[in-house]
Amino acid sequence: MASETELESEMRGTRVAVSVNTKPVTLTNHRVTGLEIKQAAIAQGVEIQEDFLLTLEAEPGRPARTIGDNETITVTKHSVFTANDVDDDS
Amino acid sequence: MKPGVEFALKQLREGLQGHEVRIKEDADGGVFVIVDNVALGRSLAPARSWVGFQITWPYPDADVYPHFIGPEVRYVGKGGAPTIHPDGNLPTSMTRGATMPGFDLPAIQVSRRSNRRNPDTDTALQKLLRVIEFLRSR
Repeated sequence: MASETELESEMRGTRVAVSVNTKPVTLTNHRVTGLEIKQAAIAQGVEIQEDFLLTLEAEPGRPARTIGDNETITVTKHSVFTANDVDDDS
Repeated sequence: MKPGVEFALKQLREGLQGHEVRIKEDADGGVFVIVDNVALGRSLAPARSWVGFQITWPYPDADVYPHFIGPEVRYVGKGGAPTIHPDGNLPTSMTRGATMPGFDLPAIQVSRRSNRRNPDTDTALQKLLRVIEFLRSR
């Protein structure tokens, strides 16, 4: 099994500022779940709810995609998220 | 095309890297859009289809709704499919016998309304991603 890289070691436990609905949100770890991102955003005043759908916006070479509550992802200072309320059957 | 609609298209193309995005302008400054080769998840077969919708001229102050997918799609999941049709039953919010406007394609309509929409954060791209998530989670 490959050992942890130096970067991964630096990133473990390091605070990182991401963007959620254009607002800065500070996370306490680079490896977080979708729910943890939303919970941190709510705690820091972003007007969303835990059941909103979280999206990681596109970056060059990577399309936008939704992030599930239990999905763990690696975030950086360049990570941009959008959270919107879910839709209703019509 | 209205500037807001043009900007929505820019966001769609940037957000959907790898997917062809076809458009036809409507008569009022909006646009009909088809995104090709979208993965719909394991509960639908075939597992990929196009997804179409209209961005109307009042956007971003208007919801993007409904959406459309190919008529050949069938529900093969284990959940409920209460929309009865001889070509294959479908989950709620999905209806056969529709037509994708602008392109005049036979389609299945996917009706998911954003009743608590925030125009500052909810874009045509965001709505499309939620509709795709809805289809993948049936």
